[in-house]
Amino acid sequence: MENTVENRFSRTLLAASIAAIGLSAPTATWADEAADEIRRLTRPESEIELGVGDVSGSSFKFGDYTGLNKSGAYGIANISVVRRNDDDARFLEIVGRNLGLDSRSLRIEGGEQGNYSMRLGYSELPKLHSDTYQSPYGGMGTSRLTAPAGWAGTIDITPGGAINPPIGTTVVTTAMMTQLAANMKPFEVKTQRKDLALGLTKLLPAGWDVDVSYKHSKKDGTKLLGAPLQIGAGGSRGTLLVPDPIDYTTEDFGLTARYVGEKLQMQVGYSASLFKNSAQPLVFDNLFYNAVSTVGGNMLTGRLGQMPDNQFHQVSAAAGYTLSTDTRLSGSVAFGRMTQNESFLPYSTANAMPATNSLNGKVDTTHYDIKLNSRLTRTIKLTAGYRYDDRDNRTPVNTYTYNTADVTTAPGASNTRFNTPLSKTKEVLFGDLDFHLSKATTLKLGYDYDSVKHTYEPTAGDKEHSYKAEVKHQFTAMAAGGIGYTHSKRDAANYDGGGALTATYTAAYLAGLCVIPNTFIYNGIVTACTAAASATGATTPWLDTPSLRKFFLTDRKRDKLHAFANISPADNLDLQFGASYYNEKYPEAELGYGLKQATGTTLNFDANWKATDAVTGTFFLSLDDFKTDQNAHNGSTNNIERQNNAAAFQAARGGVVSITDRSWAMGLGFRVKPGGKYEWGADLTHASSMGATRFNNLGTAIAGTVFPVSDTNTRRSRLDLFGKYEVKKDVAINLNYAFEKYTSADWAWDGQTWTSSTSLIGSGIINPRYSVHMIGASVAYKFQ
Amino acid sequence: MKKVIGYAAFALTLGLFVPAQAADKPAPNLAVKADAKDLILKGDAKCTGCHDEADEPTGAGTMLELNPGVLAIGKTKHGVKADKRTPTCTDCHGDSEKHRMHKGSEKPPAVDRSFRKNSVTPADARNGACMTCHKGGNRLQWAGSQHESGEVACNSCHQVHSKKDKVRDTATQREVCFTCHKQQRAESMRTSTHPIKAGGVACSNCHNPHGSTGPKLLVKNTANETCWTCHTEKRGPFLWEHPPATDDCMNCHSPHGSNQVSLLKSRPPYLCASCHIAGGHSTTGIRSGNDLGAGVVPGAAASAAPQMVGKSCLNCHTQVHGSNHPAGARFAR
Repeated sequence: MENTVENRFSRTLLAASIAAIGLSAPTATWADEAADEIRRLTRPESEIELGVGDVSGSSFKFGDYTGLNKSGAYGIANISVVRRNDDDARFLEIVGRNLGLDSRSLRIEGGEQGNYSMRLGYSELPKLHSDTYQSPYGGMGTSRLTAPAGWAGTIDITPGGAINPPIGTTVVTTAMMTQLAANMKPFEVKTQRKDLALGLTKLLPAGWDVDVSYKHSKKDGTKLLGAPLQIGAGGSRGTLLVPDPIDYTTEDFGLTARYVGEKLQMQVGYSASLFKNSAQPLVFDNLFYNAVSTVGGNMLTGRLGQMPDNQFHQVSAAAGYTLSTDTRLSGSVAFGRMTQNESFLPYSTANAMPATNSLNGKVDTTHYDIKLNSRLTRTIKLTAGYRYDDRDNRTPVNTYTYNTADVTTAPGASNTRFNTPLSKTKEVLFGDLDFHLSKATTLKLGYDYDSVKHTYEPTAGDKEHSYKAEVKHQFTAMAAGGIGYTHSKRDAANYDGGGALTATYTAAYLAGLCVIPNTFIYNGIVTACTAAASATGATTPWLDTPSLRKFFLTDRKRDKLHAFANISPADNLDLQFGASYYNEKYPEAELGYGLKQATGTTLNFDANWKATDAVTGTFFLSLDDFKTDQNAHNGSTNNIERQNNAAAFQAARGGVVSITDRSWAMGLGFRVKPGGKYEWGADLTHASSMGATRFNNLGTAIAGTVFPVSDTNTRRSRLDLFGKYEVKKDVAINLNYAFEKYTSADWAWDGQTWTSSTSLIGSGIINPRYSVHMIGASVAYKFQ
Repeated sequence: MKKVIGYAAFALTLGLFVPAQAADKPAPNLAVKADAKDLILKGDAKCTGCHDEADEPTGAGTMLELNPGVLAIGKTKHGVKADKRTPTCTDCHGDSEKHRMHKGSEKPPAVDRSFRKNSVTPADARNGACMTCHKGGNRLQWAGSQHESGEVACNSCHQVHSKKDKVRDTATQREVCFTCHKQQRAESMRTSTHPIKAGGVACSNCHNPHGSTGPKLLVKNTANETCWTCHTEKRGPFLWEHPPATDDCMNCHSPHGSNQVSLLKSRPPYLCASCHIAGGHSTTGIRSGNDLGAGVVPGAAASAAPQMVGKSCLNCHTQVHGSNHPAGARFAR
């Protein structure tokens, strides 16, 4: 009996114990997992990704800005470290991207949140201009370009024959350069920018903080410039594109103190930007050299100036004050000064110097603005303000008598010019009223008034009035749309098409351009013409076509219309439609010359679709069409005919140049993220452009000489495939594949040889075209 | 013995079954747990009592699941409790008593200030929450700015409950801006662009979307000052100034992208000929196929004109942004 009770108790005890284990052990595991889960969800995480990629083909165009221009393998290295202490506010962030490429960037920021932070940023950027450029010069990449050994002797200037007139008046042409093709050498034209930025922000008591920043930017390499030389009488010039050395350094300093209070916020600051150009002026041998030329062409070298060192210093202050819960006032002031005083180069390689050694250039800038924003009633809001910007150019005006493009003959009267230090003042007055007509409808009415004053321009300034109206309506919870219209009218003060250029020449030179017994006004003084009387001679000195209107200065009427619609036909589908149109007219250019009309139409469509919780897709399509028409002429040498175009378009020698710029772009993509170990997706993008140049309404005197040009085009298509597989909880493998194809056609380069032009040595530049495959595999490790 | 084994098996099965039951999500009772503790921020228990780790998006689409989840705020600057300025949930979303105190299984009333996709909370109410702390500095000019008057809310661009705020990362910022600015997206896909797609330049390098003193939300007072922050070599002043360049870089350039070289709006020679048709070779303002040379266009002039091919006018007139050379009056030096 006793045995039976004991046995039964033992069995019961055993069963209970086993059940207790079954109850307690999983529960304890689940609590740890929950804590781990919360930590994973709430604590910052870091990631390091390392791998290797491969590019199948070399192309500057493909690798522009990214550094993926050479075929072969490259390193994939990305890092993102975010550390935040649990017990205090100290933090550290490190973000490094593309560390294996010439487009690498690294940003480090650390400190104590709410107290101070320090930051360091480093980045590189390659700009790849051309990998098909060629020239016969030695020394490419330096400041001294040399002709091939014995070059002058290989130029065939033998008198007579098919190409050469008598010695002494020969202007060397590319056809005479018998060793041109044999001496062509390739050179990669590119620049690399490297930026290093440092900063410190410190929070101070009572709402203040101070920020100090410094940035050092370096850009070096080469870019293409034209290197012309005067090689004959009149306008005879020979030229070619050459790699100009770039060695730019910019240092930026900034100091800002900020105050943030409940109603008042303000800041004061000082900034300085110092640009230094360490490249020497480019000296290049004359490839059109003719030792016996008597009209130019016998100079040995030419010399191009470099961008001069300059500085810009600015002090600024800004403030905003909340007058009430409905009204806020803000404004700012800024005073700056730009200076430039680099020593002048001589007029030419013959080394005659100007009377002044340097420009002593100085421009003072002034800005101030004020803005009021107020909720006038529950449904009406007002924003109104004023902005003033002034550029006061205090650079001295002097006279310069120069040699044209290093010609060795003495300068003529037309080569004495005054410089024109341009100043500009712009004032803007603006006001917007926003009405909530109902809960679903808003109406905006706005008015802008712009007033601009210029110096040394054909017009003293202009005034522009703009009126705008915009309506937005929420049709349903799933549909909204809007439409807006803006009309602007700009009126320029009295426009003297020839005046600005004329004022840069001397009275004596201008007097020689017109015939006795006529007179003209020069700087307010009646001045007599001095050229011999003639029936066809000019009666006034003109240098610019009087009826030409520069588009950024002249009268303009502009209308802009835009509309949009956002529709969600289902919870998982969003559609966006957008369209815009603008029409600009330049009434005075319609009567004379210059840009007379510009129109533009854009259409956009976007779709975002969440097929399932794991699958999403996007699609977009954009269409642009821009057109400009400009009145132009192929003028004659008859002075009266040209200068008498004072008010009208000269039909016999005129025509309209119409340029169409059309693009379309589309993108299609999807993502699959089922929530498990893997995710993957694809993107397909395509962008095309077409540029057409047409000539219309050609005058009878020129129609036979104007030939069509072919359309230009570019096409880029790209397919991206990517996949990610989580090998373990914190380790994933990334696989990427991309294929990109690009083609282009441009009449400026297509079909041009070394000698297609007699006075421009060809460069061999080919319109870019490539098909490139890219694959990449990397491992990403996450940690907290 | 067999019976012992049988009992043990039954007990073990029971032991396995009970934790499994505990791991199953309970039938949703949306009342906050009485013993909930703060998960991230001081006082967040009244919210994270419900919006806990079970809420985070898994793709399973449970009732409580929020997308995005809320706990990722802990990974960000907004989750740093040791910074005394850090707000808690109700500082941004409002006290939301009706939402917090809701009992039962039907969906609770919305919070006082909702930042969700189809939120009925007005933009300025949402922005008011953010501006409680984030006023001044870059946002000093917010009131009356283009985005503010367009009723864009802070959360239209910013993601607060996300480990990464896309718009504050140069690599992903453009995707956020392109959500609305489609024209600029199309332009950034053209053949000549700033390094936007490559991540070298972000929209915020030139624009301050929070408001600015310059036109078009530019970071500086004028377009030229903005361009000169990177292109300092073009600042001058120069001995010989080129008026359209000194006036406004946008006279000739299209900064978001262009189908012409060097981000030009139109191509030389026609761009230049819109202002220059006076003396010398510029009197030929209608350069055409005749100037491409007979080698390319049958019947054309024997020689291609340097004013048309290659870099066109810039084959000679290279210093179009201004020249400091005493002989550079025509920008050829």
